[in-house]
Amino acid sequence: MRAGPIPKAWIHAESVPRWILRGILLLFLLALTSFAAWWRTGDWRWMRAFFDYPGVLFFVGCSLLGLRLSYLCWRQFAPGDAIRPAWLLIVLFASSQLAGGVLAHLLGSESYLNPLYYLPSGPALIRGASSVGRLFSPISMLFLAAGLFRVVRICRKNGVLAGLKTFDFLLLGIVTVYTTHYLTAVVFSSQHPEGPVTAGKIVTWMSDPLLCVLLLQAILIRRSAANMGWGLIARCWVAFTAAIFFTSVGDIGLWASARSAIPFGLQAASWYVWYPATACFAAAPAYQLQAMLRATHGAVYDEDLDTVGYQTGRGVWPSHR
Amino acid sequence: MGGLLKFLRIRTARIHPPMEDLVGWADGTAHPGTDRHLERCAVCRAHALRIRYASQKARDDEIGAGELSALTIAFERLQTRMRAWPGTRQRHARNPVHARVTRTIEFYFGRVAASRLVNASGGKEPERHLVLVMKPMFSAFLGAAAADALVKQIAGAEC
Repeated sequence: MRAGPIPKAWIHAESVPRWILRGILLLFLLALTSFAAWWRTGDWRWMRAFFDYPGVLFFVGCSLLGLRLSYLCWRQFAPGDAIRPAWLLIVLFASSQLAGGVLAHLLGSESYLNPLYYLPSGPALIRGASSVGRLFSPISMLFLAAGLFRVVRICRKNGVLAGLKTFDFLLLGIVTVYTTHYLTAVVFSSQHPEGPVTAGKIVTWMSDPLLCVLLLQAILIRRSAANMGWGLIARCWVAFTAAIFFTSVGDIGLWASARSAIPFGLQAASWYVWYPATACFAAAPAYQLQAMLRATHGAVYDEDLDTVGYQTGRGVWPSHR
Repeated sequence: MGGLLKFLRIRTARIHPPMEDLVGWADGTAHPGTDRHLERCAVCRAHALRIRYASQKARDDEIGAGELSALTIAFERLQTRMRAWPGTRQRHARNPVHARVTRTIEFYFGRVAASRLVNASGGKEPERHLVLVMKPMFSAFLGAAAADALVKQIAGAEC
């Protein structure tokens, strides 16, 4: 890797986290508007309009961005770099997430964005796309868990892996209790409440145990990052941690909503928690790319550091000055 | 019952003690549980012996002796002290000589990591040496090529 002119795509990568933040703020503004309209009129179409159009576009857009940035990160590592296999697994995770998002949210929904909606055999195809799309969730989690496992090993090898605290055990305990309850109530139950057992269902049942593993890894990485003091590399892994945490909250929210175990306000909040999760998954490789860009192309110390505003991440590149 | 105890012993051998405990063992202040674990776990025993070796080197304050290279010893010495450091957010006065390196470390890894580095080096290491010592850490998270570029930039700025 040679320090030459800064590639254009990388300059864009520098501003990606800010654009993601703006995007999610705009999305939540739209969500609030549609929610208020539904609350006032009682017309569910307001909510569908949000989830089927801006919601789907944001989800697929962030997944696409995450895949592109992860691929760029992976490509920057040379064969033999310890963290390269982890980034390959993250690329595979992002690919599965995108495939699942396109199938389940775009092709699996009855919206005008869906080309299948215009076909005569559309309804059957839409149902099929939705079912197949759901299978990608555990597959993507498996890739991410394998990737984060390698990162945890690298942290341990470099002496920066921190231990778990009481709150971490509490959080893990909640998710483990939920997973155990889900497994006993659904998977190991003699009468399956969700209908006959199929291969697809068995694959989707893997999601919750995998989420427990992911949460453990995420907490370990977050503690290690906090123990180092939140640098740019740490931000990448903290973004993954936040994404996993939001996913866990969304998953528990879905389960609790189905059993009316939580008040309506929390149920409604759990519908939207998937968007910050997706946004964090896209922001994580952007931070890694930023770190690599700055390492390779300068702008790391003395007055440059002050100019780029390294503490806030709001800076300009030397070539822009 | 004996089978269960044997099973538990096998299982608990796989739950490795944190680095702080291994450092404690290396310093001779280990918890009895750590001793028992080290008797069974070859991986942790190897880590603990390396830490003890690095601690002794740190105490002797000599670089270059033995079969390890000077940089490896220096890196292990820093790692040992960084591991032993309690995870507090306490600020430490910085040596102005190391400002550039610590700011780079701070930028990529964080404030606490930079403070630890300064404290671990004790203001004795030359800046260029510190960068080389930290290179494996940069290499682990940014890749060898980016780590090389970073070291070259710092060395270039120093000239």
